[in-house]
Amino acid sequence: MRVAVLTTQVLFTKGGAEIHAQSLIDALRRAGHEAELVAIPFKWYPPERILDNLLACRMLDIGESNGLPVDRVIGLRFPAYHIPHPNKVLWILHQHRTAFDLWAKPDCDLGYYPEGQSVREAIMRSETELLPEARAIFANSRNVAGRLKEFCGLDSTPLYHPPRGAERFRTGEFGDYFFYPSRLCELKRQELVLEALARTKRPVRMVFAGKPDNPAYMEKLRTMAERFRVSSRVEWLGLISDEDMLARYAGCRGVIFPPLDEDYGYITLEAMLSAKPVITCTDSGGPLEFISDGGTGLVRAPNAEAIAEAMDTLWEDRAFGQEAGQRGRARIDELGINWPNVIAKLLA
Amino acid sequence: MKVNLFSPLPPARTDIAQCVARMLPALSAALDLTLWTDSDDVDARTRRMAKVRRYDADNMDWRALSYADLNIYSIGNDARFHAPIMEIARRVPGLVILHDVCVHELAYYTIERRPAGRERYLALLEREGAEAVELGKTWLEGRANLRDLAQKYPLTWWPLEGALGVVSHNASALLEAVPNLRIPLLDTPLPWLPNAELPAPRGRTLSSGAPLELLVCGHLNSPSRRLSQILDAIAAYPRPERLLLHVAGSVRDEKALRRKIHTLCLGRNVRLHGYLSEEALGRLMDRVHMALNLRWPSVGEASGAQLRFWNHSLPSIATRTGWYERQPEGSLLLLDPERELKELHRHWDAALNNYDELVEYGLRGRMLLEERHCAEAFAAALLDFAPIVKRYQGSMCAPSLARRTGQALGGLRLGDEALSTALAKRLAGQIAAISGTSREDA
Repeated sequence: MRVAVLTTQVLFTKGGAEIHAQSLIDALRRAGHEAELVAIPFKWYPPERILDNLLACRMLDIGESNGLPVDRVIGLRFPAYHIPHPNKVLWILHQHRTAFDLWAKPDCDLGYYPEGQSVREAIMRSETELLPEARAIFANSRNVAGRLKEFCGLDSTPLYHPPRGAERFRTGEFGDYFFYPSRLCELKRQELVLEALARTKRPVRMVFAGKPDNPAYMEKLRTMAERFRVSSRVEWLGLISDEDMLARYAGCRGVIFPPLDEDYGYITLEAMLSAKPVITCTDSGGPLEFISDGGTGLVRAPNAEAIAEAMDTLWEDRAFGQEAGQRGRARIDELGINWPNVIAKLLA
Repeated sequence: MKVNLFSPLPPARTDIAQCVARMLPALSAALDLTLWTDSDDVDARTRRMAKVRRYDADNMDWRALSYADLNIYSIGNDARFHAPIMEIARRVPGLVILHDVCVHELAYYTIERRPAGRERYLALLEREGAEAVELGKTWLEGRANLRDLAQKYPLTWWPLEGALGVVSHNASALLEAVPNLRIPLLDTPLPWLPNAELPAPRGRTLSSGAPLELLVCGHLNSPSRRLSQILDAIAAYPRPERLLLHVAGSVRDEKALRRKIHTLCLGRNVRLHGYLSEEALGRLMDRVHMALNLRWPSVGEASGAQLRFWNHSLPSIATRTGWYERQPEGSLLLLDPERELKELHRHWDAALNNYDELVEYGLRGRMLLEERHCAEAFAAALLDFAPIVKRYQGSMCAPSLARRTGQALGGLRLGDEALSTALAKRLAGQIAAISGTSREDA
């Protein structure tokens, strides 16, 4: 099959969505298909730009190329997934969240603009009208499927996939640091982790990996760490190699992953593959599909006191941490999350 | 439902502020209401009944508007009160309560204060045709009267551009002025007090030999209120000693008015009260025998003053035009504007001969007030209307999206008209699909 994968690219940004798209392309090629990534540049401010992007996508014709049909397209991200095609399947990573679940939340940029409400309504309307053009709708997670149902009244099937290089994750010694690898941005709540760290009673150490979306945010985090007097217990690795990442996962005491309503969250799965317990929050979304409190990790309210208590618990109770990590590893094996299964469903 | 209402508020000297004050209990009970004003001066009662926020159109935090279920703009023709509201309404689409059908003065004074205001004003008039532009130029050169221009070109459509919907208390006049209205219209009577707050209906008597006390009130600056003609009619009346006119309200040129009263020897027939408080005006309405609520030429507005007269069961004379003409028979004494003086005399004769018969007009008006103008009914109608207008929120993006697309298309310099047209049609179809507007509109 000739398969085009539709996504959007925020220039000079790399995160879970980019890894997801590339992993899907790799998996399609491994399965013997001809696969091409179609990435549309995306800028979301001022809000009218969102509609400009959407309109541009709607005007594209990817029905065939060089006289040969494109047999199937798989849409991943807004607004690229609205490029028309008669054999389109959606595997939605997330919608334009500030128009939906993040609307009126502190990080919602749309609300700051006078035209924000109208643009939001246009986005909501076009999603409801245009998404059903697809022959099937899959969601990245149960969380994303729930949002589609809640805001657009559309049914979709959650379809889990493994993180990139899943087979390479390994477990190691139960080290003296918690690990949080992620983009550094408000939604991932590194600030909350720093605040919690300041409230721990044990000599907990944190290792963050990842690049800030905006350099100013990195500065803010560093300043915050100084203000909380935890700088000596925090390490900022920035972007690290895959090898280093695997080693950091393998050697940590546990993984902290407390984002706000994450769509899916590779970090959860990567921690489980590394047999590490995960501390997450009751409002963290995707991770809650895999982490149970007292089972595969600890689930706490999204406040510094509660997270600090969980960090102290895992720091203190090494046996529980190891058992929770093993349960996580067993759970991910049970779920049968693998690419052949994903490809079979998307191309059915 | 979370609602922002932008309106002049008491004690602002405008009927629209009083209108808001009257319907406030009903609105506050039905809605999560925030009142927005550009004035620091808001009375204590209003502050007790709803959240009041001050705004500066040049320095807004738009989030409060973005996250509301509905933004409502109370629009009248007086630019002092409504120009700042229009600055907001033009940027955040909402529901317009249009109190005046003629909003030419509002349009002029709102636009005039912007950079290149005069050019923009003339560009606006271009939509009315070349003659309107020429007349506009004569006004800008000081050779014409804005009021005359407004009579000819009321520009009713202007505050409705970019609105989600419109509430009118005089829908037939609105539709006459904007026959191709393309937004939802809620035709609902001008709201008055909740029925529970109405004073008891009251009868009136005219003692034998006592003068018939007449009242004109409100904003009397416009010639359309006929104050000068009323004075002429009193002077020409065969028994002027039987008439006593109370003038309560703002008059632009009080000196000229006093001169006229003096010239007509009406010193003993006219009392000038100036602008009265609500309470003082209410006491005056209870005292007089007849209100004169003339409008000619009419600009089609529903009359808050008329509701006030009915509230006091006060018989009143109005011009046979617009909203007044459509009121149920027996609630108003009407006069033909072409025979104004004669008909005033006829009504005064009738009142002096048998005042008891006229009292019924005031009482029937009072019943009408209860039946049609109840504030709770208005709040309920607004609640029902809100989801209808909200459906159009997304379509508000269509004009700017079409404009940007047109600019991009123009930049391509395709040259081939057929090719350009085909591309424009496809783009229009997609804009319509995205915004939920019709393909033709897109």
